Amino acid sequence: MTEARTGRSAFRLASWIAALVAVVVVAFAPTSARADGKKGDDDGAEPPDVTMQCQVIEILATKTDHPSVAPELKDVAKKLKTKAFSAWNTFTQSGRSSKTLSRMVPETFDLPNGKATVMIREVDHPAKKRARVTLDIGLAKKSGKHYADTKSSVDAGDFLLFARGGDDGIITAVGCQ
Amino acid sequence: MNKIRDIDLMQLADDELTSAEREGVEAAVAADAGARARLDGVVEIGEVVRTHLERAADDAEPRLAALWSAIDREIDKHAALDREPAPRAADPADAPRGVWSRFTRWLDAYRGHILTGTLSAGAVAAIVLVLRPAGDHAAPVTPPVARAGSASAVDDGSHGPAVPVPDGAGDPRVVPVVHTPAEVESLDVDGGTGTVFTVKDEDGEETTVIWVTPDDTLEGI
Repeated sequence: MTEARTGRSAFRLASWIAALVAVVVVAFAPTSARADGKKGDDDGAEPPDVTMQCQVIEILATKTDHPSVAPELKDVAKKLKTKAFSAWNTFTQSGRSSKTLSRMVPETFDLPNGKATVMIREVDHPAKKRARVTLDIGLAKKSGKHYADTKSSVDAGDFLLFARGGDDGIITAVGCQ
Repeated sequence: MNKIRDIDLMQLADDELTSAEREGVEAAVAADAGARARLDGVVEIGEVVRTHLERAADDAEPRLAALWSAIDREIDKHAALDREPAPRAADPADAPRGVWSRFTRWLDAYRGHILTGTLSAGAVAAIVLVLRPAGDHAAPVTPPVARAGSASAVDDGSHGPAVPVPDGAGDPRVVPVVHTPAEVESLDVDGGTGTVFTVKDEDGEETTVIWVTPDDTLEGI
């Protein structure tokens, strides 16, 4: 009798252990909602108070006998070595500006050779992909003359590059994370 | 009757003859004085022997009594030992009972239940993982950085500004995710033309470049 009662207790305990393990698995399983700060919605819409750290890098590009990429351009060095910029082989950073942007609030980044206006339109959080940021970007020369406007989407942490110029060029990299 | 044998006299003296033999021997002894004398001698010798044996038994009585007493004591001793509970062999149950030993004994007793529980847990976990919506598997992305009071600043990069880092860099919780190149939805170029390139870098990752060519540059060609 006692043995049977003890056996039932053990079985009950084992059931509790099973339930506990299941709860732990579910509780600690990574979910996009927890990881990216979403508040339980899975429709990919960003929370209204989203802010991101955005930065604009201005790069001077030339062709020299000693090809090099400035060490401070480490985060975009691979991009500068692509054939898109094969007309140049020497890259130096002339300026880098960083700001915290709120959604739908444009900010202007002052650069040594111009300005860049950046506004976050939206931030998507697709499954198994990096957050996707849709940006409005406007570029102006040092004179203040506006020369390009674009609406583009880019991965969080990635850069969209603009290039202009001839023998000596100016590359503007824009990215948010 | 023939001459009476000594054995017949001894059996008569010891009352070992049948009634018919006894009658025959007694009749012969009665008729023979010599046989009568020999019978008396046999009887007398028998008594002497018995007396001798009785005396020897009497003489041995104290020693036999001591021997019997010793035997009795041994018998009583063994009987007492038999009545006592046998000393038990070393039982693990008599060992000091620590928490671990209690747990292991309990585990030994209910190993089947534990196995059942563990298998149940595994099954539940597997079901949860399989049935969970695909979106829940989404790898975490770099969360937006919120900094109060951030201000505009032109930076030459030498002060370690916040720099976008590759996926997962420095954070073991971040799962590598699929990179998607930048996409240009619209492009307006004032006083020039714009060209969008998507090229691969040395790691095979695609990079999007917008090449802006002013008209004055074109005119100069």
